[in-house]
Amino acid sequence: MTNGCILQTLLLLCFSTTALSISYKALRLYQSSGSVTCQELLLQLNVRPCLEDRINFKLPEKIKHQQQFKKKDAAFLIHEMLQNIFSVFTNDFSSTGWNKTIVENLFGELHKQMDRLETILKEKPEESLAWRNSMAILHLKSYYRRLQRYLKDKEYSSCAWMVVRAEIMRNFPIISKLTDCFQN
Amino acid sequence: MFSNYNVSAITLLNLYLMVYVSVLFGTSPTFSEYSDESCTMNLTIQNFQLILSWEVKNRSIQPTHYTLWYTIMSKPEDPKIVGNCTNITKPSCDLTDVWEIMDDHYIPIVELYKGNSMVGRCMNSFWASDFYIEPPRFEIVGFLDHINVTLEFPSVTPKIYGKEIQEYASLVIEKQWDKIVKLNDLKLNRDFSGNFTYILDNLIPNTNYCVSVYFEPLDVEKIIKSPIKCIFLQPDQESGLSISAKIGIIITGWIVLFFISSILMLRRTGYICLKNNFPKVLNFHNFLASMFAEPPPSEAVDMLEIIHTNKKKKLWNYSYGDESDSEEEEEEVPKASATGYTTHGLMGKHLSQAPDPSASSQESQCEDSAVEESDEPGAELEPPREARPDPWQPESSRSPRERRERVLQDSYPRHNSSSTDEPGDKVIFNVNLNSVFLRVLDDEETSEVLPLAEDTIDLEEDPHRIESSLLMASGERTQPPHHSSSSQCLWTEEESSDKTDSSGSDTDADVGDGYIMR
Repeated sequence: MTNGCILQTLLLLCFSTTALSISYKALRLYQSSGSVTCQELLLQLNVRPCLEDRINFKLPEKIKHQQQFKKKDAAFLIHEMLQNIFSVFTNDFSSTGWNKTIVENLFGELHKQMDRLETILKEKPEESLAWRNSMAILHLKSYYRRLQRYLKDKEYSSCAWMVVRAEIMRNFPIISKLTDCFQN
Repeated sequence: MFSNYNVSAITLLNLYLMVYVSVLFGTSPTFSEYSDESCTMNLTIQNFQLILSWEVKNRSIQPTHYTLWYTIMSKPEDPKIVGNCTNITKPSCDLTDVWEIMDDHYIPIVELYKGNSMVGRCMNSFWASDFYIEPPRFEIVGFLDHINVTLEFPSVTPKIYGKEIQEYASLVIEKQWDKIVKLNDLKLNRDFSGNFTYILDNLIPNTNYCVSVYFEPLDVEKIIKSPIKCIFLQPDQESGLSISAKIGIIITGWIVLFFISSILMLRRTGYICLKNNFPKVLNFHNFLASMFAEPPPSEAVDMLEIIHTNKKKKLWNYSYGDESDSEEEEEEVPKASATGYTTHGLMGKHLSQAPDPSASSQESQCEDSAVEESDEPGAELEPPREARPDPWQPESSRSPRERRERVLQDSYPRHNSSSTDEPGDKVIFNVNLNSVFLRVLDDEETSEVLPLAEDTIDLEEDPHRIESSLLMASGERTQPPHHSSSSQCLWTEEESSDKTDSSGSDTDADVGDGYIMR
C-alpha cells in the first residue's frame, strides 16, 4: 500500500515535470506569438508624434540581462510586466482618439498570456511569494508607477499617451527575450 | 535680516533656473515653429539597406530640397541631422548606419525647402522594427526536370540595427504549378552575401513553372512578394547540346574527314589531276589591266583630221600674178587649176598613226576616195601615210610624197598646231556629195603638185596663204564609182551645210566658203 502510494507520487512528479517541460515549450510559442500580437495592436494605436513631453522612465537594467533568469524567474517577470501594462491602459485615453476595440483586443491578448503564465506560477506558490519581494520585481513596479504618475501629471494628454505607448512598446522585446529563457 | 537674505537667495535661484531652462530649450531646434505638413513615410529594407522614403501629400508645396533630422522617444534628446541626407533632392535616405538601436521609437523630421527657404516640415514615428523587406533580385534557368534559381545578393550585406537580416525574416522561394503553391523555406544558415543558387528539383518536364522569392518576417502581413517569373521545362531542354545533337556532330565530322582524305588520296595516286592551267578567258590575273588595255593595234592607217578654217569670201582672183600679189592675200584664194576646176583646200592634219581604228578606217576610206578621185591635177589631198619628213631636209631631196606631207605640215599653222589637238578645233562637215567633188592627186600629178607645194613652201611665212594653197577639187563632178565611197565621208562645215542645199542646183553658185559648184 505504501509502496503503491510512493510509486504514484513518483509517477506524478515525473509526468508533471514532463508536462511542465512540454508546457514551457508551448508557453514559449504562445508567449512569442502573443508578444507580436500585442506589438501589432500597439502600433495600430497611432498618435501624432510630439517631442515636448518626452521623458526617460528608466527601465530597470536588471531585466535586460535575461541570461541570469531561470524559467520560472522569467515567467514571474513576464507576468509582472504584462499585469502592469494592462493596468496602464486602463487609464483614461479619451484624448488620444484611439479605437476602443483595439484597446480591448489588447486587453484580451494580455489576459490570455497572463492566464498561461499563472498556470505555471501556481505550481509553487511559495516561490511566487519570494519573487514578489525580490528587487527585480520591486524595480519593475517602481518603473510602472512612474508611467502612471507621468500620465496623471500630464492629465492624460495625447502627447503623454504617445510617450507612454512608445515606452510600453519597448517592454515587449524584453518580454520576448525573457520568453527565450523557457527553452533553458 | 536672515529672512531678507533667504528671499533674495531664493529669488536669485529662481532667476538662475529660469535662465538655465530658457537656455536649455532655446538651443534646441524650434521645430514647433513650423507647421507640420502631412507626409507619407515608408521604412523599407532595399537590397539589405534601411531606406526611409517620404512623399509630401500637399502638392502645392513642391519642395526642391530636403533635410532629414531624427530623434528617439525614450530620451528627451535634441534632434540630430543626418549628414548624408542634408539638402538632398531625392525624397529618400539611407539610414543603415544611422539608426542603430533596435528597440525604440524613431522620430524622423523632414524639412522641406524650396530654393533656400524652408516651406514646411514632416514628422512621423517609426518603431525600429516596423519596416518592410523588399524581395531580392533573382534569375531562373530551366532544365529538363529542375530549375536553377540564382538569388542576387550584394557582396557585402550590412547589418540592420546590428543584426543580420535572417534574424528578422526567412527567405522563401515560392513555386507555383497549376495554382498549387509549394513553399521552399530556405532557412539558410549562411550570410546573404554574394549570389546564391538554389535548385528546384524533381520537377515534371514539359510543364510551366512560376517562381517568386520574398522575405517572410514575423508579421506576415508585411510580406512583399517579387514579380513572378515563369519558365517552361521543355523535354529536350538540357544544359548544352543533347546526346543526339552530339552524335550528329561527330558523324558529320567523320564524313567530312573521310571525304577530304579520299580526295587527297585520289589526287596523290594521280586519279585526279588538278590543273592550274585555266583557259585564257578564265585567267583573271590581268583582268583589270585588260579592261583598260589599249585596243589591239590595227592596221597602219593614216588618219586625217580635217580642220575647218574660216575663209573669207572672196571673189576668185584670176590673176595669176607674182608672189607679191599672192602675199597680199591673207586669205586663201581659190586657184584655178589647169583643168578648170576650182579647188578649195580643206586643211588636213596628219594625225598619229591609228589612234582610232574606226575613225581611221573611215578616214582612210575618205583618203582613199580622195586619192582615187584626184586624178586631175590641181587638187591635192595627200594622205600622209608616212612619218613626217624632216623639215630641214632640202626640198629637192625629198620624195614627192614627203613633199606633199611637208606641204600639209607647213600649211598647217603652227600656232594652231596645239589647238588642233583640242577637240574644239575638230569640225565635222556635212557635205552634200552631189555638189562636192573630191579629187585626190595621184603620183602622176606630182609635177603639178610640186609648184603648188613650192608655192606653199614659199608661203610658209604666211600661214593664211598656205592654207589657200591647198585646194581640193570642189565642184560638181560626177564620179559614180567613187561617189559611193566618198559618200561615206561626211564632211560637215557650218557654212557649207547651209550651202549644200543651195549647191544642189546646177547653177554655179558661191557656196560661201570657197566651194564652187560646177
